[in-house]
Amino acid sequence: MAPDAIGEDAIFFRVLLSDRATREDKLFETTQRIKHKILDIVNPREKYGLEAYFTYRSVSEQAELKEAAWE
Amino acid sequence: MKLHEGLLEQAQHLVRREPRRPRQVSLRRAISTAYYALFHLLVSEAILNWKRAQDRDDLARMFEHTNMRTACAHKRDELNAEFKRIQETAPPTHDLTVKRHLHLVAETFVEMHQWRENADYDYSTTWVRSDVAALVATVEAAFKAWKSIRKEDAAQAFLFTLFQKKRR
Repeated sequence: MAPDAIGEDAIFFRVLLSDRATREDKLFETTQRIKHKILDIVNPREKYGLEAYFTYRSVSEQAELKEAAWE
Repeated sequence: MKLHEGLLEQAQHLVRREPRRPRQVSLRRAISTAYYALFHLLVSEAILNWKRAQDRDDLARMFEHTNMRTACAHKRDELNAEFKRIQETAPPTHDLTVKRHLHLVAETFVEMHQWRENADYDYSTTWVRSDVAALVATVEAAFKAWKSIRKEDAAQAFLFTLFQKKRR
């Protein structure tokens, strides 16, 4: 959790995707589907008053970057 | 080519500019440019409603990013509440299709407003191509959604809310 661009508390989801899921022709549909599924389950705005933001990366991208926050 | 169309095209170019090892600067500029594409799309549409054409450029300067973001978040939440009331099995109506398109536009603006801030000012974020490509693709989809509803009453009413001051 962290403040967002307007200074309000927000929850930031990091979503690790298979390389196949990041195929460019499917990227929009895939990320929309994941985001709305998580929002339906967690419902952060209604339950906790938190704005939710999503970032994505592929397994290959993370393997190259090895960012601890994504492990 | 209109400003917003040029900006979207530039964002699409930047995200693909270095396909193997994308430079952070290209990815950051792609995000920022995609946000501004959507910002200028909505502002350019909103000012068309001002009858005196010679005043429209000045009117465009009066739109504020944070106010627009707040108005979009309100619209998104209002539509979410409405979608929840509707049975998932309910047959799609024209009205519902318009609202789903409008929801995408509003939701995308809220998200891009955040990511533009990060892309332009936050040194700690390392961007990856798939993430940025997804953001640019979402703005592309928002453009298409807007084009399909721009003359609808709900879309025109939404444009007016973008001009209003904060309502939190």
